[in-house]
Amino acid sequence: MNKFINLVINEHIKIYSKKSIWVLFGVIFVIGILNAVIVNSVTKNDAQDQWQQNAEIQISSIKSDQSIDQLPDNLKDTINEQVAISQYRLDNNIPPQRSDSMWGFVQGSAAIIGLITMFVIVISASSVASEFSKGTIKLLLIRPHNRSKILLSKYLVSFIFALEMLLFLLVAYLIIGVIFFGADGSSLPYLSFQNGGIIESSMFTHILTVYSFACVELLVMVSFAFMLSCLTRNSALAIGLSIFLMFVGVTLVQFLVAFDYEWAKYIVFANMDLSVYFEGSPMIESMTLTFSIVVVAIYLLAFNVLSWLSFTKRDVLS
Amino acid sequence: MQTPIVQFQNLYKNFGKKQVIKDLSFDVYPGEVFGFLGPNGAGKTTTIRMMLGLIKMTAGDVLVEGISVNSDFEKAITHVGGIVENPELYQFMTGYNNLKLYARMHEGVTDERIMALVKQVGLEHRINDKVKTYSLGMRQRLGLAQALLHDPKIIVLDEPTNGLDPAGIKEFRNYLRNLAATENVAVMVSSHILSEMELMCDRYGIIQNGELVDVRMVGQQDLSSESIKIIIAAKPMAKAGEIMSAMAEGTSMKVQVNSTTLEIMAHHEQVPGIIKTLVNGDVAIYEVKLDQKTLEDHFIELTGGGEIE
Ligand SMILES: Nc1ncnc2c1ncn2[C@@H]1O[C@H](COP(=O)(O)OP(=O)(O)OP(=O)(O)O)[C@@H](O)[C@H]1O
Ligand SMILES: [Mg+2]
Repeated sequence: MNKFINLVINEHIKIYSKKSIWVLFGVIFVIGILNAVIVNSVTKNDAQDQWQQNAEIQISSIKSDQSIDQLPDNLKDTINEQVAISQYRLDNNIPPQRSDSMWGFVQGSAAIIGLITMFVIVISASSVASEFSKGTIKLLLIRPHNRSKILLSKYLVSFIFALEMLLFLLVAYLIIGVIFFGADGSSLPYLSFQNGGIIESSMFTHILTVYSFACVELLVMVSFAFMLSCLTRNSALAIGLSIFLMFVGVTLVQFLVAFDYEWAKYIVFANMDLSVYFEGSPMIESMTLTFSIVVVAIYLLAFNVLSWLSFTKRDVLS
Repeated sequence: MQTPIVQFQNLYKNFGKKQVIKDLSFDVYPGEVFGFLGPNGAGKTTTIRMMLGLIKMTAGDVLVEGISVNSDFEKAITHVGGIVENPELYQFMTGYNNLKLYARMHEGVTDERIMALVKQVGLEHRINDKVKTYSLGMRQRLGLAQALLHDPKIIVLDEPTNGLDPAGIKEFRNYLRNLAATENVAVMVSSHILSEMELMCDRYGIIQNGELVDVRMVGQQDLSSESIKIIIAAKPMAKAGEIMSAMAEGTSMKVQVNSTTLEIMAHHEQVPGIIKTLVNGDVAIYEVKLDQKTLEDHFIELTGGGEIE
C-alpha cells in the first residue's frame, strides 16, 4: 500500500505552508530578546553577589519562624527542602546560577512553555476541524488511505509540531543567551532535593528534564484539543473550547484542592505535571507518580478513542 | 456488452427517518460519458458521496472494477478520481503544491505527469499562484487535474461546469469526450443543466426523489412511430398554407399556419413528400427545421418539472 510517511509529510507541509505559522516562531524569538534585555538591565550589581549573606538570612529567619509548624505538610516539606539546598550551597561554596548568565537565562525559558502550549492547542484544534470548515476534507478522504491512517498522521504531526516548538524555544534561548551573556561551557551544578538528599546535576540535564515533563503536558493538551477538533468539526469552536476548558479545568482543580475536595485528583489537569514527584510536592498528598501516570494514560486513551470514533464513523457532509 | 467499471447495487440511504436514496441500481461503462441527471434534492450528491466513501450506505453497495467500496475501500478507490460539489483545495498553497500533496497520496505520480495535466487543463500560467487568488473556473480546472492525477479508470464530477464560462464549458466538454474516447476512462457527470448534458453525454440516467426513473442513450428517439414537428419558412405563406391544408386532408397530419412559418405535425418519412409538394406548387422554401424532442422535454416529462419532495 502507499506509504504512511507521505501522509505525515503532507500534514507537516500543510502546517508550515501558512504564513501565520512563522508569526508564532517570531513571537517566541522576540519574547526571548525582550527577556534578555530586561534581565541584562535589571540584574546589574544586585544582591546576587552577596549570595552567602542572603542564604544565611534565609535559613535563620525560617528556623526562627514558629508559624511554619502550622502550615500544611507539603508546604512545610518544600520550605525544608529549600533550607537544605541553601545550607548545601554554603557548605560546599556553590553559588546559585546567576540569572544574567547564559545557563540562568536558558533556565528561564521554561516560563515560555505555557505560551507554546497555547500555540500547540490552536494548531491541534484546527488540524481536523479546518479541513471540515474549508471543505478540503472531501478531497483528502477520497484517496487510497483509510480514515484511521489519515487521523493518525494528523495526530502525530500535531505532536511533532509541539516538539518542534519546544526545540525552537530551547535553541533560540541558547543563541540569545550566548549573544547577551557570553558562552558558558561549564555551568554551575543544578541542585535538587531527592529521596532525602541533595543531588547535583548539570544545568543542561536539568533543563532537558524540565522540557521532557513539558512534553507530557503537551501530549495531553494535543490529544484534548484534537478530540474537540474531531467532535466539533469547526475550527473556531474547537480552538475556543480547548483553551476555555483548559483554563476552567486548571482553575477548578486549584479551587477544589483549596477546599479539600480529594476527588480533584481524578481530573487530568491535576496530574499532567509529573515533575512535582521529583521536585516539590503534588497537589494532593495521597497522589503518587504511578497514580498520575495511570490517570493521564486513561485520559489519553479516552480522548483518542473519542477522536477516532468521531472521525472514522461519522458521515462527511461538509 | 462490456463489463461495467462501476456498479451501483440496490443502494439505499436514510438520513434519520428520511429515505433519500431508494433501491438505486445502474452501471457505468469504460469509455462512456454518463450523465447523472435529476432536479434539486434528487440525491445526486448523496449517491456520489456514497460511491466515494464519504458517507455510509444504509444498504446496498458500489463496486468499482468489481471491488466493494464498502468492504475494501482503499483498493476500490485507487481507480476513482472525483470532485464533490465545489472543488475545495488548500487556499493557502499554490495550485502546484496542492497537486503535489495529492500526488504523494497515490503511487507513481511523477512530476511530468503533474505538469502534463496542468497544461491539459490550461493552468500553466497560474499554477504557481496561491489557490486563494483563483477564480471559480480556475478552481474547477485544478479540481479536474487532481481528479486525474493517478490515472483513474473512472472520474466522478458533481456539477463540474459550475463557474465555467461558455468557452470554458465547450473546452471542458471536448476534454471529457476526448478523455473517454482516447483513454477509455469512464466519466460520470452530475448536473441539472440539461442542454449541456445533451452535448456531453453518451448515456444518461435520470434520478428523482432518490429513485432512478430512466436510463437511455442521448438522441435515442423512436423516429418511425412518433409524430414530429416540422417547421418550414416559405413564401408566399398563404399559398403554402393552402397546399399543405389540402395535403393534410383526411390524414393524421396537422397543419398550423403562422405569419412566416408553417408548423406541421407529421411522421418522419413524410418530410420529403411535403417538401416536394410545396416545391411543385411554386412555393419558395427558405428553411426546414425538425423540432426534435430535447432531453429537456424528456426530463420534464419524466420528472413532471415537479416540486421537491
Ligand atoms: N445531512 C442531511 N440530513 C438530512 N437530509 C439530507 C442531508 N443531506 C442531504 N439531505 C437530503 O437528501 C436529499 C438529496 O440531496 P442531494 O444533495 O443528494 O441532492 P442533489 O441531487 O445533489 O441536489 P442538487 O441538484 O441541489 O445538488 C435532499 O432531499 C436533501 O434534503
Ligand atoms: Mg448536489
